[in-house]
Amino acid sequence: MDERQRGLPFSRRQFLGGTLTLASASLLAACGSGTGETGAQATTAPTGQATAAPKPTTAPAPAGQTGVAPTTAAVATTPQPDLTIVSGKFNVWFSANWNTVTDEAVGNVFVDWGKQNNVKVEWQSIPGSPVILQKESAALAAGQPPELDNNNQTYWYTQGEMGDLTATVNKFKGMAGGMYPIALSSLTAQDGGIFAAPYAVDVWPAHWRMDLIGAKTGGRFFNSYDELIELGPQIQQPPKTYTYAYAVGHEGDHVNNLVSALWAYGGRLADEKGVPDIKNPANKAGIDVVARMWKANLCAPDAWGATVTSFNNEAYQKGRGLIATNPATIMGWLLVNDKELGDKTGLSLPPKGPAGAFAEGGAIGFGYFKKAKLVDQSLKALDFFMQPENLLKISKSVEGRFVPVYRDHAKGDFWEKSKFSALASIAEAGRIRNWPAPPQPWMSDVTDAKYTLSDMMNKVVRQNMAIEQAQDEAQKDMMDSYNKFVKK
Amino acid sequence: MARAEATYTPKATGILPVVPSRSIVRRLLGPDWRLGWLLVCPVFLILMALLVYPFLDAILLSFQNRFIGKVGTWVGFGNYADLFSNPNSHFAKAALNTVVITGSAIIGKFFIGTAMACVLNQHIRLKNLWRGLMFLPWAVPAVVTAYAWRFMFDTSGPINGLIAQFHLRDDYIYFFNDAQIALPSLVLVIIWSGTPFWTMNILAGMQAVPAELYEAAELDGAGTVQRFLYITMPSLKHVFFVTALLSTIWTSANLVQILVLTGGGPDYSTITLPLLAYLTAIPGARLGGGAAIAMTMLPAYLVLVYYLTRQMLKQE
Repeated sequence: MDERQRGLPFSRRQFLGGTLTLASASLLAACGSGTGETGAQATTAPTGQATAAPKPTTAPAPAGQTGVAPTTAAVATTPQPDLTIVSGKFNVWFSANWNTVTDEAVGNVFVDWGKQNNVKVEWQSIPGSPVILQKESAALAAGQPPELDNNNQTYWYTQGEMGDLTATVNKFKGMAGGMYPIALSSLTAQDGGIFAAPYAVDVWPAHWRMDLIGAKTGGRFFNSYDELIELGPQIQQPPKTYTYAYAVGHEGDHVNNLVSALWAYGGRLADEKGVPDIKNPANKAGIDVVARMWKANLCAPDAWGATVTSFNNEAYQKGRGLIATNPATIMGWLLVNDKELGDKTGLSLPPKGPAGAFAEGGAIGFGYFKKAKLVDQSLKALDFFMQPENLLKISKSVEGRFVPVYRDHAKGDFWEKSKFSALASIAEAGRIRNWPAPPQPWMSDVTDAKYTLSDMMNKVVRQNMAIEQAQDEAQKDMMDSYNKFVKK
Repeated sequence: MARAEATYTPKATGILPVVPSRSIVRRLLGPDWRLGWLLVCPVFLILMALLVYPFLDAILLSFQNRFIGKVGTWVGFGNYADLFSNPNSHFAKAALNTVVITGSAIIGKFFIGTAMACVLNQHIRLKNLWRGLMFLPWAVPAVVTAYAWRFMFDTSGPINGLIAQFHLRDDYIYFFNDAQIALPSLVLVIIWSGTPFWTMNILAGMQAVPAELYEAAELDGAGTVQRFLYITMPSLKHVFFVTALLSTIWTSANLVQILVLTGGGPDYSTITLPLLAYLTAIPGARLGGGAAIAMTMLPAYLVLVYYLTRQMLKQE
């Protein structure tokens, strides 16, 4: 007996079918409305970005700020608390500083801004390349990049993912004694646009053991690479200690360690126009001196297999390396965690070559992703962040880790008389990695994705390839990146 | 009645009948095909969205040159050709390493897993505790175990600590940093973490072997070794086969441990196809190239999945 026969107006099958159809329709409707919401958000964000990006002079200005002269005092008073609660989180990503004091100092400025403007801020300190590049790539692929980020900006700017901050930076560059030139030049793209707002100058001094090396040299650092190769074997005690915690693996620091040697011998990575130039004959002597250090067993052998950027940090901090050329993250870590080793550590320019001694420098700054959910808040956050008193807070709390971007902040005994004075002089005269060219979009592909220079050194040192041939192969590989990112 | 409803009048419309009659549809799809398909529809959609679409998208991606967040450009077989023609692609080395790591790890897991299962199948004290401990390496997240091994084998780890303390060698052993021994060290870790799965399956298979077979063999004078070779091993044939297939698929697709322990280095000595695909696609920002590398593994996986499915259906 079926349901109709029992007096029901429909069969069981019809009932099930109808219910299922109704459920499917409800589900579709629910999904549809959700999509509508997302769609609305998605259209809102680019609109904000569209107004903010091309006209950064007007877009970031909070109410009451328009027309105010960009003096420290004026800017300091301008941010007006916005009583509207901004939905979502304002994400700030930056590469790990390897100590919590520095990370918190940077992150907390944004937290303070968020509190004043009812924006939930979440900052993350992320280990360096390639981890952060992967994270950024994944976030972008998912359509949820962070609002602000201090990594891989040249790449993301040329890809059109990050916006132009020239107007924002120009408002601040003359304040507090003016910014160091490298603070601007290192964040200026080939098209002349500034892609990040600088908050610190990161320099790469040689950290060296004054107690051990100084005992052999009369209290000074090695005069030259040749002296290092000559005296190193008398100082080190392998496998417990090696003269140089030299970075050469598939990690972020190998480029600096190599380019310091190339510069000392008159070489370079790129020419004036930004075209790869590793094949330049002047690079041969620099590559050769690095190979000589390796063949003299002056560098920790496990460096070849290193895949984390902190390899040389750890080697020095554990006392295994007697020299490490690195940003002052090592010194920053020592000041917090190992004062004894910190006291024994000197800072100076990397060893000298026939062309001189050169250290890498560059500014660290935040760029903004144009497709971030709260992109309309990004320029406001940077306006707050860049105020000299906020950046002074950071440099005061992390003294020694970074050189301040404003010259006035690098005055006083600490920066002029202590061992950190070397950092301030590097900030004045340091070179950016791409020297003599401005930052190049192809560079991070070579340094953080393909590790071309690490592979080149591997061929020379471990496969005994002729330097010229290794240079040629590296040049081809670098040109592939150049053609992909620059030459359309 | 249904037949009559489906009758067309081609003369009147001038159009040939292209829609099959309702009875044909019924015959093909069953009497309740509409409701049937409606009920199956959600599962079908989920399968399409979660399996078929990403899979097809990956195939299409492998024919494109595409950066993250950008529209791809069609390059045909360019990405595939690049794998074989570009000396810096490391594809051949990655393929060879994948085979070597998978093969040696499977052999290691087979022998150690069988031995462990034999031990745990005996009447030993605290049997359940040992079984629980044995499964630990498999239960702990791969990234945690990878870091634990990295610490063990580090220059500041316990093994090199002993070497330095007792002056056993002039230099440390650079397990993951020496191209000569990085691959065997890696295989050791993969065997360690994957063996419990084998042990678990083999142990379960052993417990299903009827005790009467062993008793009969014992009465016939068969020794321990003979009982193992002529009763246990043949009884476990299907278990070995299925376990080996699953383990091959998982081991060859292993990414986390290799990424954490060696990152494919030193000197690409431990690079594998999944890792190369990942490094190319994500840090290298070449989505198409990465997809092409992943797709080269597809034929092998199809064969494995075919045999696995056939074996499992046969068992049912």
